[in-house]
Order: sequence, then C-alpha cells, then structure tokens
Amino acid sequence: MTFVGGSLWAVGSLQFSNHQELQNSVLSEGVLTLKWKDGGEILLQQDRTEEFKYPIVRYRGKDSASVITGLAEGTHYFRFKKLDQPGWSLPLSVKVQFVNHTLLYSLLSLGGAVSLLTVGAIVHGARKSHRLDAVRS
Amino acid sequence: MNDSFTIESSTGWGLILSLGALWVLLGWHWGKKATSEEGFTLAGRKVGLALGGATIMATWVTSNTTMLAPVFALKFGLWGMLAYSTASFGLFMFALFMPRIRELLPDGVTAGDFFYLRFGKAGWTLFMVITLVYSLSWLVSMAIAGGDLLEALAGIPYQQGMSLILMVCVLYTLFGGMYAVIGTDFIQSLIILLGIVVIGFLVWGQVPLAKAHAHIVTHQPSLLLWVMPAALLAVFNNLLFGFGEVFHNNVWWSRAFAVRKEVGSRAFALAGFLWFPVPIAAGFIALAAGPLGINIVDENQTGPTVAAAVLGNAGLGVFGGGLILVVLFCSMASSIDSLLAATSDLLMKDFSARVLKHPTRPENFRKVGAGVIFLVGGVTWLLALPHWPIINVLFLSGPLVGSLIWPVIAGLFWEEINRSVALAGIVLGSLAGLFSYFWIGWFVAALVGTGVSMLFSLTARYIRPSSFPPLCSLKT
Amino acid sequence: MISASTLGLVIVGSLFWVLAGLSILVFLFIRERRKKKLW
Repeated sequence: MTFVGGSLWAVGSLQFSNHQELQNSVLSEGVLTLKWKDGGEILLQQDRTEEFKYPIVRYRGKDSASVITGLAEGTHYFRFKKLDQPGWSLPLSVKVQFVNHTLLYSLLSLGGAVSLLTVGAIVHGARKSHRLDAVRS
Repeated sequence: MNDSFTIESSTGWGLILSLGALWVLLGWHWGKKATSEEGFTLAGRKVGLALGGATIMATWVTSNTTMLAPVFALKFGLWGMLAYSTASFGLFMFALFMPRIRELLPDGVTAGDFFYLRFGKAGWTLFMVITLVYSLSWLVSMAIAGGDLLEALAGIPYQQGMSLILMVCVLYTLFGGMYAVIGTDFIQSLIILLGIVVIGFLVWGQVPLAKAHAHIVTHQPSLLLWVMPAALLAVFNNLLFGFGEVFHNNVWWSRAFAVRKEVGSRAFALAGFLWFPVPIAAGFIALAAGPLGINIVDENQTGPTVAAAVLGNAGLGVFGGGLILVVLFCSMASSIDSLLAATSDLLMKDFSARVLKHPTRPENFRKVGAGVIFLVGGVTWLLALPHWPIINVLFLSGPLVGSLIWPVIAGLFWEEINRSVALAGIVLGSLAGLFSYFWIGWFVAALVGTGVSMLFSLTARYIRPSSFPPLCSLKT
Repeated sequence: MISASTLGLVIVGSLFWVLAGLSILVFLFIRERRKKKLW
C-alpha cells in the first residue's frame, strides 16, 4: 500500500494517463499537458511539496486533460481525484529548468548581432540605391 | 471544448457556403477586369495603397497568426506575444526593397525572375525547391487548420470541412486571379481586424486587470518574467524566420509587382504597421484563461476555446461561435488565396518556361492559370487529407527560408558576388539550421540558418566576386 | 516581474492600435475610390 497525501487507500491504479511519460521529466519551458481517463468530475491539484501541504486547485470539472503553463523553475507535484470516489491518484512530479543563462545570453547576443547586421545591410543598401537614383535623375 | 457556443453543423455549412458564394461571385465579377495575363497575375500593376496595404496585411494574418498567437501567449506570456509581433518587421524591411525591385525588374512577374536574374539557373533551382516546400507546407497547414476548426466549432467531419474551405478558395482564385485575391483580401482584412477588436475588448471587459495579474503571478508566474528564456530566444528567431518568409516568397514579390510604383514602399510599411499589434491583440486572450477558470484541453485550440467562453459569458452564445468561425475563415482564406495564386504563377511562368521549355502563350492565360491553380489546390487537398502534422514541416522550413535572406540582400543591393559561395551558403545554412533545430531547439533554427548563410554571403562579396549580369529584360 | 500596469498598457495599446489601423484602411479606401486610384 502507498500512503499518498495522507490517504490510506491504495491508489496505484489511479494515475495520469501520461504518467510514465512525464514522471520526473525536466521541462525547459514550464509547460505540460496532463491527461487522465475520461469519466466523471475530477479535482486537479498542484503543489511544490510531495505532501501537498498547501495545494492549489488547478482544475475542477469533467474534461479529461489540462494544459499547464507558466510554471516557475523548480519541482512541481500534481495529483487528481475523482469526486465520486475516495483516494488521490499517484502524484506526478516534474522539474522545470530553463535554458542556462550562459547559453541564453550567448544565443541572445548571436541573435542580436545577426539581426542588427541584416537590418544594417538592408538600410545601407537602400540608402545607397536611393542616392544613386538621385544622382542619375 | 465547451459545448455552449458550438454551432450546428448546418449553421457551419451555411456560413462557409454563403461567405464562399460571396467570394466566388465577387471573384468572378472582379476577374472580368483581367483581360490579359498581366491582369490575371498582377492585377494590371496598378493596385493602390488601400487595397495594396490590406492585401499584404491580410495575407500575413494567417490562421497560424490568430490561432498560434494565443498559444504563444499561453506558453510564453508577454514576451511570447511580442516575439510573434516581430514577424511584422519583415514587411517594414521589404518596403525598403521596393524601389530597387522595380528598378531591377521593371517587367518582373515572379520572385523566380529575381533569383534567375541574379543567381542563374542553379540559384533559381535552389530557390524553387525551398519555396515550394515552404509554400506547400503553409498551404496545407492552413487547410488542415480549417478542417480542424469546422470540426471543433460545428461538428463538421474534418475531411468535409477541409475540402469545403479549400474548394471555396480555389474557385474564387481561379475565376478572378489577382483581382479576386486582392479584392476579397480587403474585405477579409476588415472582418479580421474588427473581429479581433470586438473579441479583445469583450475579454478585456470581463477580466479586471489587477485580478488577472494576481492570478497569473500565483499560478503561472513564468509568463510575467522579464527574462523568460524560451520567449526571449523566440524574439530573434521569429524575427529572422519572418524576414526569410517575406524576403523570398512569391506571395510578396507578386504584390511588389502588382502595386503602383509610387505607393509600393508605403503599402508594405502600412501593412507592417497594421500587422504589428495583431498577435498581441489576438493572443492576449489566452492570459485570461486562468483568471476566468477556463480549462485548456488542447493548446492548439486555446484561442477559439477562450474566445468562445468569453463570448458565451457575454450572452452571445451561438452568435459568438459564428463570429469566431467567420474571423478565422477570413484569416485562412486571405492567405490560402494568395498562396494559391502566387504558387501557381511560379509554376505557370517560371517552371513552364525554364524547366519545361514551353512558355505559356499569353492568350491562354485564363485556361492555363485556372488549370494550375486547380492543380496546386488538388495537391494541397491530397496532402491535407491524411491530417499529417504538416505544420512541423512549416516550422522546419525556418532555416531554409532564413538561408535565403542574405542572398536576396546581396542580389538587390550589391554589384558583385561569388555566386557559388553564396549558393553554398544557402545549402549549408539550411543544413546547419535543420541540425540545430533537433540538436539545440526550435528557437534557434532560423537564426542559425541565417547566420551561416550570412557568413558565406559576406565571404562571397570579397573572395573572387564577379559582377552581376547587366540589367536587361529577362530572357529565359 | 512584469507589472500589471505594463501588461495593461501593452494589451490596451494593441487593441487601440488595431482599431486605428482599421480606421486608416477605411479612410484610404474612401480617398482612393474618389480619385479612382483603387486598382
């Protein structure tokens, strides 16, 4: 038996349908889609701790998926329960880790440089062409 | 998706058929102005600022814009929307190209004419491969989006809905050519902008800013970061992807040749001005999803889901579903018709003359033009039918079109270049960009493609360059 | 963290910008139609 969030019920059978795929995965954008089997109203919770001490309600309703975005860096835990049944699902944990700052600033510098050079080449070419036109006419 | 706003399939059919009939009728009526091949392909080269600016803007507002902008906002927050808006910069830059394009190619008809003139047959071939991959994947992804939309909003089976939307666009384009495309684009642009404003203000009215902000800070804090890595990286990548798309594609070059010479630059600048706020105005509604308690089940349906819920809350219900359908249909149609016409022109003019060595006779323009448009539409339909994720091909084309940016700049503004080195840059830039797409991420692919090609182009300017051929009428 | 006022400014600004663009298009259309320079 597994104690999950204080519940005594064995809930190994209740889990997100993409649990295996997502469990302990590292998300670089803070985005994930949680899915569960259709059937009845559910309550979806999220917390920063495995014990779900201060959970946030993410969703309550009859849909069978939910897109979660904007997660902060760090580890997040998710669980759900069917409202007409006791017991929570197996908790899912994911880690959000953004691109490291060195790589980020290198790529941003590269992007800025290429963009500036490109715009510069166009503006320079257009002005030169305009000047030549003026001289010819 | 919430069912309270979904419309009956009969309503969905009715809306598309009646709007479609209107476009076809107008297309046929305006198409009578095309008494020559030039009229059919370039609307007589006399399009004014209003219609010119509108068609450029509307063509660039695709279903990807109206559907993907909310997805960017949902995933990447404020910077995500701003990153999307940088795609308008390509239009501003193209405005600077205009005088030179008209000088280089006073009788030009297609972008292929430019690539052939400045880079010879090898350059033209590379351009054709890249542009056909890009254009077809853009066309197909919009046909697919149309089918998905009709299924989600009106329960019309995907294959039927997709076929209907595509058939309407093919019909009015082949009846009226560029006149039909530009005329309908103007009406569609007004509907798109009005629809975005109506939906946007309704969302704004339903969500108090302070409450929404507080909700996002608690539940989706990354969306409001000043340094949100994925979003920031998207800024330059999107900018360069946009440059690549606009600088190379015949959709824009055909408009460059179609507008009156004296308003050309202003038409592109106006279009850029009109387009810039659209991803923000259309996208921000996704930020209302959390505060309004709207659950997103499929990120690709974020826009319609939120818009429909908001319109439902405002008591507009089924009318809301209809409004969303009309706005999205217009954004698709305004791009599909332009792509059909521009791609068909390339095949009709460039391919037939330079590959088949059998130029189209001017007196056959209507028959051949209609036939090619029908063919392109048919290929699009066949590729859209199995519902493959063709949008991924479109994203993958980022480095390909990015690698064409500097060759276009060189061909327009430089006097000499080492052609082989420049063309090698296109190939290697494309490959490097594709490699980086899979090895580093989607957010650098266009940047890498452009950067590598840029290095080769700059090298080509100084290492054994040879002069471009003298300006003269195009000879195939 | 981006503030509420910044977020609000960007959003409302973009909505009014779209409205302005729409007005410009209509104005240009009417003007060019009068001068018979539409196309």
